[in-house]
Amino acid sequence: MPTVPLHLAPKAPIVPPSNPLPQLLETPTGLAILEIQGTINLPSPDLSTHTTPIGRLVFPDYSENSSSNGTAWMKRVHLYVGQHQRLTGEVKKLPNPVAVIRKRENYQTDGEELEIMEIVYWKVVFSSRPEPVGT
Amino acid sequence: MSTQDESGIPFEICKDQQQLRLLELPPSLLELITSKRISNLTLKSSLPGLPGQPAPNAVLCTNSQTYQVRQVQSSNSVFVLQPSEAQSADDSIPSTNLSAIAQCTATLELAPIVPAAIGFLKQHLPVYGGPQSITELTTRTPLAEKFSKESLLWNAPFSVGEFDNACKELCIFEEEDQLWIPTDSMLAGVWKSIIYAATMRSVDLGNSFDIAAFSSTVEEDGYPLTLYKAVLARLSSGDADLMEGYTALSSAIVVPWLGAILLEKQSTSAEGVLASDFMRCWQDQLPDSWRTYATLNALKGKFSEPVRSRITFDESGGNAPASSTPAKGDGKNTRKWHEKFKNARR
Repeated sequence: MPTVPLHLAPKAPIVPPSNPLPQLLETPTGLAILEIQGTINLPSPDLSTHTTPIGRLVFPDYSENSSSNGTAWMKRVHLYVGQHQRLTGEVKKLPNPVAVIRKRENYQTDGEELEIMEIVYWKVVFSSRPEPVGT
Repeated sequence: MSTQDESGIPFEICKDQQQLRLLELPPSLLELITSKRISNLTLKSSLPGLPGQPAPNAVLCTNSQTYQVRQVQSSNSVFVLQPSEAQSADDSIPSTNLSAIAQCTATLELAPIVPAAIGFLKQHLPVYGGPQSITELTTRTPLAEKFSKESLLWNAPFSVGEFDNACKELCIFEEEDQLWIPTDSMLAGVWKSIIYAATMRSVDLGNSFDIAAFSSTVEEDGYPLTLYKAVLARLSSGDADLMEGYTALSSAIVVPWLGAILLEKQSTSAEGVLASDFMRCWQDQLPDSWRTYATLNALKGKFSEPVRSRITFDESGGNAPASSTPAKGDGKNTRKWHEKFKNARR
């Protein structure tokens, strides 16, 4: 099947719960991109939950109220992984915006269709090695 | 550091990961998508096993532009995050987590290309040299797949606009649910019918005229009406305010088009034809007021002079013509390599 349509928007609108991210990183659907140099080792799966908690994402220099702090807050983002590790990263503008694409749920099932869920312009990137932190 | 547990956004990874892809959008495409000037894009792959295209290439098409899709692997972990309501915490204050709903190991990158649309059509479509072509095709390969416009477009690794342009360029027409490429003799023949009928009825081809006026002559001469219309579409001056069923031809298109067809038809031997003979034949088939436009300058890049005062059809001759002929295979490849090197340097 050599031709597949790629729709520009999701069939059903995606309504996110309130977005905890800084406003710059907010998108209409709430989707964001986070990049880590390396991998996260996950613990053995806990079958009772749908998610595996990793840690916390902190924007230490970001303040919701002051719109005057410009872009300085973007230079420092922390990702605490588990109890003892911390990654330091930053918020970066993507050189080219990225479309997040998924298969469109199609109940008529005549051929595959794709749709753009969201276009993302920024990413949070962690490119340094993790440092140990005390608890 | 007791603050770290309280501050920040809880980050978790969903066990049911979604299958998502990340597609980098070049500025031109981003503008097109965000302006909502089109309803959707199409992702296409070429027919597998085409000669010269060992791996099926995927392309992304707008209505008029084609982009090559390249999958670029990343060693980094790239997560797509989505806010989610926190699951029942001990306290009743609702909070929002960030959940990684997908991990993408590769990004799709796009590079605009000029597809070899004409080459693709020539490769897939039969040549029409007269009614016998249809009988030959159906008796020789009765089970062969027929390519209507729809079915070929479905398989073509480029956009509908580029498809239509290439069809127009080659005067491709549909007959018996099959697209055909007319031979130069057919094109020259249709033109002869048109110019004959126009002369008989004193129709000025440069001004708006009724397409149906020449239909009977063309049909009596044995040419399909679909071919006649394809030729008119190729040669029309493209004025938007022409009424349905009417057209006007452009001397700037007709003169070099006819010259190239006649020269190619007559260039049967290596030493070519006598330039003066060819010029007379060419001019004789033009409306009187257009005769003076038929000069060798109008055929620049389409001929060479093997011997003095003789010319032969040669598309590689001289500089590239300033006509609307889209670039063919070579251009596409160099472009691709250029893009590859550029990307590698990033």
